[in-house]
Amino acid sequence: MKQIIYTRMMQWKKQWLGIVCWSIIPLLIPICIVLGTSNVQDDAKIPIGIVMEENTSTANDFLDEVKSAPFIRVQQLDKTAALQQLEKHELDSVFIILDGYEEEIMRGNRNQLIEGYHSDLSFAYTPVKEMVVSIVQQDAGRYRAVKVIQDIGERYRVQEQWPVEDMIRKSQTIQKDENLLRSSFTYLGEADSMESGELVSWNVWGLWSIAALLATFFLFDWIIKERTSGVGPRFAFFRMSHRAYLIGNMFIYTIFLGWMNLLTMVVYHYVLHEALSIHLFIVLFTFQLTCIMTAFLLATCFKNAYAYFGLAFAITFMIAVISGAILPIDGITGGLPWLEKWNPVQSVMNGEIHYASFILLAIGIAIWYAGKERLHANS
Amino acid sequence: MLTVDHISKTYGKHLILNDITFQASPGEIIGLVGENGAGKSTLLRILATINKPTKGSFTLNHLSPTTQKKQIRQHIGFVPQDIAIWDHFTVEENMVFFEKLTWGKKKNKSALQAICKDMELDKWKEKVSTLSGGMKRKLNLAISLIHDPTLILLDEPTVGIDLRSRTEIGNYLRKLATENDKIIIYTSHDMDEIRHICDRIICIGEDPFYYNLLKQTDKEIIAF
Amino acid sequence: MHFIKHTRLFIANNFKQIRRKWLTLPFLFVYPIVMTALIAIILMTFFTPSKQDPIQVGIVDQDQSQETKMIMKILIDSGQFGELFQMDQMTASDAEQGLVDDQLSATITFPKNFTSNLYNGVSVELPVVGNPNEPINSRLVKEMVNSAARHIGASQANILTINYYAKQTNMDAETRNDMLFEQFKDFLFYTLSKDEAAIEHELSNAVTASPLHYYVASGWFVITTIWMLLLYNMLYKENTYRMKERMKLYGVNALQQISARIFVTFVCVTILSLLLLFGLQRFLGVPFYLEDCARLGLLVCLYNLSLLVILAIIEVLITSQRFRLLVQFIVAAFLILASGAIVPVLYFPIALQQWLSYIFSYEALHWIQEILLHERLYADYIPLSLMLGVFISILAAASLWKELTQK
Repeated sequence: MKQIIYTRMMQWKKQWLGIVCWSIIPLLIPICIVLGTSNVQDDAKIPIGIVMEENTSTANDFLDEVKSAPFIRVQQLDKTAALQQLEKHELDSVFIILDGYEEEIMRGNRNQLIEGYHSDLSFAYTPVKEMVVSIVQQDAGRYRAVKVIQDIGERYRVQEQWPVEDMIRKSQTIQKDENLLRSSFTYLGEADSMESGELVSWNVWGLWSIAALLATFFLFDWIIKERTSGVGPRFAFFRMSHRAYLIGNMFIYTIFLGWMNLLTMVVYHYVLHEALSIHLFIVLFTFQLTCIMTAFLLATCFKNAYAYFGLAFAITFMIAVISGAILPIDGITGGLPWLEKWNPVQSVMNGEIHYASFILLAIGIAIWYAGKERLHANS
Repeated sequence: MLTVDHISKTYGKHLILNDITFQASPGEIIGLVGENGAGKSTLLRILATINKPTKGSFTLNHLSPTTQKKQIRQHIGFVPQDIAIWDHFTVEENMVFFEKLTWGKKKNKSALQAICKDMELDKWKEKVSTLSGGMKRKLNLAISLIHDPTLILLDEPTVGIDLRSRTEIGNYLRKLATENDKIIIYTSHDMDEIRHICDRIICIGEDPFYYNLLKQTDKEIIAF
Repeated sequence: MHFIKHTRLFIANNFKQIRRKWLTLPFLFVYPIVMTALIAIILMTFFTPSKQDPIQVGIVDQDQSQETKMIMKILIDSGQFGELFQMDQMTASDAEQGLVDDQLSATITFPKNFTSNLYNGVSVELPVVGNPNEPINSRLVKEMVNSAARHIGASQANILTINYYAKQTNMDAETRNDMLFEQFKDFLFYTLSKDEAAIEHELSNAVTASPLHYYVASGWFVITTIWMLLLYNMLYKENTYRMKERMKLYGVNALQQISARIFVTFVCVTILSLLLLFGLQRFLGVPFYLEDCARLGLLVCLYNLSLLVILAIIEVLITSQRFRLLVQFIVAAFLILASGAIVPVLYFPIALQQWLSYIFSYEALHWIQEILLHERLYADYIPLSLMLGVFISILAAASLWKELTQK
């Protein structure tokens, strides 16, 4: 073993740039994606069109309130232009404030004050409509309360005047100051509530595991390169069999990548505020081992490094898609529990230790090791 | 002592080697000649235990390749025809790398450097990719000698190199056989070299050309 | 003349190479289709939550007041939340067990003193507990509760205002409380019928602009892009140093070999992708005119060539095979994303949108969609042609520069 370590270090000394790059890349990619998308998301807004059929102060207040919503970008247009843009799908949806808006609101009536248009490609219509309706509802509700108070005043013959503006302001202050009803969200078994206003929330370890899988594939090209380098015939005259040599080297890579896992955990703890735990390390390390064994077995089957890289991409891409690390996949895997069980990336995302393919691959390696040495087939 | 006993090799329907039998004792250099495709490399690879014969067998110092493969390999030094060294390493790094992974007693750097010096390979610190063809051939040979093998198999070790390097390698092999009691079997297409260095010549293949060419020498010729 | 002669030789060589690799070819062409279809299915199921399977939500009433009982009844009986949610009242322990057993997606708890706190203006928290195995459903429940909380918050502010003014009259406490309960009910129903505030219309665009057509056009675009990436790299062969020297002696430079590879990939993928497009058109039963074929063909050609030239530029600039593949992959992914094939560009930040017209994949897909989905009879080829020209110049310059700097 000592000799294998020594000779591997000699190789690494020459390839240090590649080794460092491919072991750092899985650490960096998720950080870039998480920070990058959160920047883009801050600026990503849903474009909606507003058509004002009347120009009263209530209607303008409504417009201002809609404009102040953080996740939308409002364009004020006339009806024809707005609908045209919607049809071309340049707007997500269009809302028309109908003539008589202020009058109806003041009467406490809020039915059919607004017309909403959306197309069959309006992804964000429902949340935007919810927001628009809640503003209408809020305004109309206040005037409704005003009416009730005025009724009470009349019934109990209150002498002093209660100005409408005071009542409205009272209701607004109560709502603003007291923030009376809040909801909190936690997952079962979680202590803190996590509030993220982002549309897309990444599973950091999911992203990491995809990048780590690809990088592990790329790091294991030495198996192909050494075998096809012309040094091949010399492997027969090593003190250990070629297989033992490969396994020994795989072991060195495993130790190295294990340290990288640890480093990744620490970096993510400080940069992305991920929790640190021994359990997490075991989860990551078993995943890393699964990657290593996959890359190892695959690399021993290949003679052409370029083809191997191509297949590595294809496999990684497929696993990325079916694991839901990049795309939300709930709806699909719900019906396919076996997929979840056999997908190591899924386990990392759920924070579970992965057994199924780990054991299968370990058996694969054992069979490969016990199999017949085929060095002579090299000629 | 090397005893080759009725070795035959077929690939599919093609008969490559037919019933090869000979013996070689320490201190002896045997030349292997024949036209391209006659089976010289195949025979060397069988003796190097990299390929298996279809029929027959051989023993080296009473060790059999079928039952004692690991032990027998410790006594074999195989110099492949294609240069099998790391291009991105220096001469020193190559020697150290293979020393770590081969059998036998540990050798320190000066012992390794001595092997190179013996065959006049003095560019110890230079990167292999900058070496001349002759130097690369020498390094290719030196690596195979690190573990002190008793049987040295060379597959065209002097192909494509200048006369000077060729002579140096030839002299070195001669010295190695006589002074260190090695058995050396090697192939070449250079008949002068063969006549000059070898004690005996094995001629394989159906083409009588080489046999006729070598008839005039005083060396013993075995034809198969 | 030499350039063309050599390039022709390599083209013939590449076609031979493709024929020799017939075994991997089906995989090469089917894989992107399978993957794209898979992604499309995933995205579609994500954007259209299944209506057959309502999200199971458990509600726990720890307050047990008249008001919360009423809320429970409304939540459970009325189809207020559409077919999307199925609410059931249960005890706290049953709710937790339901989450553990994956029977529930989330639970909502009405805490003790919910009502009295609300009446007295004390802030109340509604805890929603999600099932970690069903993050998206959990989030939907959370959004629903958030929106309900917003409405209730507004209603409650109004009730408190009424209470504030009622206290100033000589109304006795009991009457006032009864009145508040009445108001609570009123506002609750008022909230629940909130959807009446808006008259909703769905516009369907021209016949062809249904989401299905949109997705098919995008999917086809993605498949074409991946095909080019795969085939171009399959034809790649690392020349040994000795081979490179020999090539040099014959006057062959890298640009000729790259041009040949671009040509072969271009011909194969363009034919296949147009065939796929027409097949999809036929399958979807969309009318199609001859002039459209010509316009689409031209756009596809310009796009395919531009992408291939970009891939070639990367190949010339990056020597490490692994790194080159990664960069090519990332660039292709970026081009697909920027084209709007996955997320429509109107959702991009406005700052990014300004730059999109400088990205050829966006230009190409934009005009393809205009012709295919919006039945436009015109396309602007000039920006695409200009960009292609620039890319070709860069490729030629980079390749020559490399040839010169190498010894």
